[in-house]
Amino acid sequence: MSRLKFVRVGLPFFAIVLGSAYGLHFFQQVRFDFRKIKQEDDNLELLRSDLTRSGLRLREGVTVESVYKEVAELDTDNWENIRGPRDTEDLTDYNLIKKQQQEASRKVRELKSNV
Amino acid sequence: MNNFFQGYNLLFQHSLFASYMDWFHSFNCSLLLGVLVFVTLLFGYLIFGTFYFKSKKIEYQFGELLCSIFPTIILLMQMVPSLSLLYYYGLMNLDSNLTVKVTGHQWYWSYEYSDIPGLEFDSYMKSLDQLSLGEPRLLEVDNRCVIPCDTNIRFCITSADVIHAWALNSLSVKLDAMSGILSTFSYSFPMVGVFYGQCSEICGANHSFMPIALEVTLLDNFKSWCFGTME
Repeated sequence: MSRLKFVRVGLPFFAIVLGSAYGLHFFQQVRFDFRKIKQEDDNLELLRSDLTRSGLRLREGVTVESVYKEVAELDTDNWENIRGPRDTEDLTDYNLIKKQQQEASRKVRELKSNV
Repeated sequence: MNNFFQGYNLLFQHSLFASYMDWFHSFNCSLLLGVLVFVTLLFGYLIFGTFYFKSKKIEYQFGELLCSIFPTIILLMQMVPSLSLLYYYGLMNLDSNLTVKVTGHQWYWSYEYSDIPGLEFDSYMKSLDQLSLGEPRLLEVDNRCVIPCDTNIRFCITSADVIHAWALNSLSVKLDAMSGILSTFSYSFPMVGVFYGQCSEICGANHSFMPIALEVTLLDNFKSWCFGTME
């Protein structure tokens, strides 16, 4: 009989106490989530304003689409297989290729900065 | 960040999302171990115990009910954290962020900060003779990708030739870099530090010789790094 009473009275009581605490935690969580996101936004704003103030020109409105446009322009069809560097081998060939790569990307970057 | 299972399996995870993933992995492994032990004991009992077939166990409805309920409970226990992780990942993709374009090439990564024109560089593995004392062999690079902590960063990952993968295991990150395809993910780093990873898609023999070194630093240090690199 006493066990039945626990089921009828005690269980709903505990369910309400524990369940409501669990339910309320979602409302409370919003506060922490918002604070975190706001902090991240503020940091980004601070970074942007500081960089601009120091004389750097920042690009506005960078989206995934705008980055994809750059990616679509890449020539990905013409590439050669390059043998990877190995610690134990003579790296003369690889170093030559690496130098060419670095030279090529330096030229591309110079062109980009002049535009 | 830390949890009960730490030190037994994966690397220490350096972000909130990654530590949730780590927890979920450990949780699933524990569940798996529990099921394995239970089934092994049951089989042991059936093989070695003095069990003999009882006619009353035919059409044993209650036993069948248990066999349906327990697997359901186990699946539900896995479903709840799994779905919440999925939603958590969705919430991380914020609109305001700093964009870093990562391009995989044969044996190096190139990084481009799309918001800061002119800030782009290549990141090659340091060879044995270039290494300084204390730097890890096969993991250290000549130019690390430096990013500020506590800021939402959007990585846009692609490849210029073969398929690569940009992976950092202590942050639970692994994204394939494919030519013509842009994979994106947003991440915010709550901890400063240097994190190492390696290309994780077989892009050729010795493909792991294109390591990834990510340096998460404070906002002020990032600013001075920007100026240093631009000059």
